[in-house]
Amino acid sequence: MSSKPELQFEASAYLQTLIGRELFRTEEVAIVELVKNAYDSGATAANIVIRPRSPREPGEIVISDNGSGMTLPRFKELFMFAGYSERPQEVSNAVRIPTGEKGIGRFASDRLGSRLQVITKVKNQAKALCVDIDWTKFANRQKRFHDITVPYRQELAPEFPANEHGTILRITNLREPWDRSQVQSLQRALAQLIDPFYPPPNFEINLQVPGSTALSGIIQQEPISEKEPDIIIRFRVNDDGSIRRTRRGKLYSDPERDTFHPSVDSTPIAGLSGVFLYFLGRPNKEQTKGIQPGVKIYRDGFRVQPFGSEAADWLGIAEKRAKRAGHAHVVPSRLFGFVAISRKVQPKLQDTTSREALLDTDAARSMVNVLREQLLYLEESVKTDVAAPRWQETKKRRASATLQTLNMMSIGLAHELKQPLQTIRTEAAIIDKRLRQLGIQDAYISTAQRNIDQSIERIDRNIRLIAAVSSGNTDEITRFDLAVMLRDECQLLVPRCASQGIELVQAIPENQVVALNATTITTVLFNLVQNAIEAHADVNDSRPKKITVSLRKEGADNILEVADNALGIPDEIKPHIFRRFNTNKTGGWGVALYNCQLLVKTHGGEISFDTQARAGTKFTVRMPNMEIHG
Amino acid sequence: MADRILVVDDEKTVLEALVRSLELEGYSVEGARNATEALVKCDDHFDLVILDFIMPGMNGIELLARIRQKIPTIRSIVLSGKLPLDSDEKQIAADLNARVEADEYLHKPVGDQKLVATVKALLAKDPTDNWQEIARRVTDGKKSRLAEARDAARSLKQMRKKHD
Repeated sequence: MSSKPELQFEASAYLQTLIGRELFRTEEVAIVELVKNAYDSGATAANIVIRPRSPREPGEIVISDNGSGMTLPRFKELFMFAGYSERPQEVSNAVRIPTGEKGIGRFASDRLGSRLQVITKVKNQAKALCVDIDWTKFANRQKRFHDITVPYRQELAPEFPANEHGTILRITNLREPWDRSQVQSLQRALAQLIDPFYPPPNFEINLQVPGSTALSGIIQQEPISEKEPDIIIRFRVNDDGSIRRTRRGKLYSDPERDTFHPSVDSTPIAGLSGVFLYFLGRPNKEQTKGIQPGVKIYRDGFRVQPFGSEAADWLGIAEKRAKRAGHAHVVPSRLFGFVAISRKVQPKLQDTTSREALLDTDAARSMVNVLREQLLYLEESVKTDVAAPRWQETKKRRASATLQTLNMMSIGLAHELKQPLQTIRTEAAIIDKRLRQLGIQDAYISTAQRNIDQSIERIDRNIRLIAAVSSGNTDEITRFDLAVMLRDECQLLVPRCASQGIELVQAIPENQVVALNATTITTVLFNLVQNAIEAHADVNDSRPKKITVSLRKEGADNILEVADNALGIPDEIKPHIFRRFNTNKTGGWGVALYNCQLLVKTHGGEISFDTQARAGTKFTVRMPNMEIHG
Repeated sequence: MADRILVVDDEKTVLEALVRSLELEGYSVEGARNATEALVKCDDHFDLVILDFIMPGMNGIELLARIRQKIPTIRSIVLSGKLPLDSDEKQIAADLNARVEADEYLHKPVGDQKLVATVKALLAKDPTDNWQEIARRVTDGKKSRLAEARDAARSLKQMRKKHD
């Protein structure tokens, strides 16, 4: 058997330096990595003691846990073997789901300081293992990894009395001074690393800075209260890849639930759950509990960076908004997303070596897709339930402003017109009177005078109507019995109809309580009845003249109808009936109908008509009940 | 002798038209463009005054009160160009007052027939029929009841004499 010559890779000792300093981007990430190791060792607590560097003190960071600890063989295997990790295999039967998988976390201490002392002790052993590592020795490109030796000893350690076990990492020769602001930033960073909704179970991080009670204490992240956000979307990927979703929040009085299949296969991420909390206005610190906006991923309770950080627009929310300004409804700074994944449940969502982000796998893509779909749903919710009503409101405000301007002009004009009308009316009478006094009895002149008189009366009626609309309060919504009000109004209209030989028929229920603007109703009723009276003026046949005012309810809408049995609206007029200043066959009521329509629309209603030649016209006003403000 | 009518309106064309129209009906008519002019003219006797409701300086009702101090028996018609449902509360109050105070209250633009008919009807009434009201006008509601009664009686006497 001939042995083939073979080569083998060897690593320079410097490789450690590369991993330790370059892969752990910040001090915070490095500490979190070591805390995760403590978690993985089954500890229920990780204590971080930071003694800042000072002229008198060299400074140190001590991270200790009450986990299982390591024997010398285990230490050799687990700690001294770079890149080795049992954790992926442990996952399936471990009580606790390990957070790390790459076996490089130990190098993170190099990021913090150049010296590391490890003291580790397992249960039921008297002595602890003490190892001293000088990372500076590795910063040598000439030496091989295994050329660097690390001294150790086994001795009784005062840190671990008889039955206690665990691991202590004492990091000295710190690279940073760890002043107050840096510790505070660590405090915040640690808090942000914990899933506020599903923190790592049975695990506590305790930060101690000797001499500072403000900086010392248990690290925790309070969740955002679900009473605060306007829109809350909770979702969960079922085993079959379908998504169960609930939408709640201040904007919705009742939760809305649905289950659906997303566009991309989501079975690889079954079990993933998340919540999007959205605020319509900028939330304050009290509301957000200091949590930064963004959609964050937490694995087994620990944050996966950089998702949800300010720089990582990983769902493209900010980009979309930047591109589409007014049309992208989700404002990134008001969205707080929390996505919970687990190494055990979604093993395919794997870390990249830097512990930042996830490997680009099908599962990761599927997750991004699911989250994007929820985002779209959120966007749709904002659009339909917030933006659209706001547009509606703006439209209404504009219509109302138009109406107000028109009204102000109308009322000024009305006052102004009264004087010349009086003059014309009187002068026309004078001409007629004078001619008669002069013995000239002329039918043409008398008819002309009468016509002028009638026309002036008509103009005057229009003026009064416009004034009525203008001066009435067309904004206030009140609760009143529309049936009673209509009967009262009809009472006033009966004599007006009777004088023209018209019967006013009422089909009004006993009661119909509404929340509407009363001026709108009276104005519209008056207009429509007057319109109907005018319509009858052209009827010359012998049929009994009739105007019917009816009221009924259709769901939440109030339906008011005014019908006549006159000649109907001619085809050529129909399209123009609600146009402003249409003065044709509508009997000079163009402005009135236009105003009516404006009023009704302003209050979210509709006005329509149905007309038949020689049979009559029916105007239908549909008014939804409004909300009463104040 | 023809009944004497005073028309007060700040709008020249309206004033002239009303004056001419009533002249054609056979009345002796005078016009005044403002309150001051009207009050000066009221040094002479008038049987009826037609006032515009809204005038600069003094409204028709204030002017009517001043005219009535001079001519307690004068009949009055207020012509109002006021629009219905005016939201100005002062205007509403003044309007209500006008309806109560004036003998007749008509909306502009009033038809000639209607105006002439109203004038005729008012002039046909004996102003002293409503002597208590006239007494109140004279006393202006300020003096003691005794003085009021005395003045009322005196003015009544005066009126009767004038009328006969």
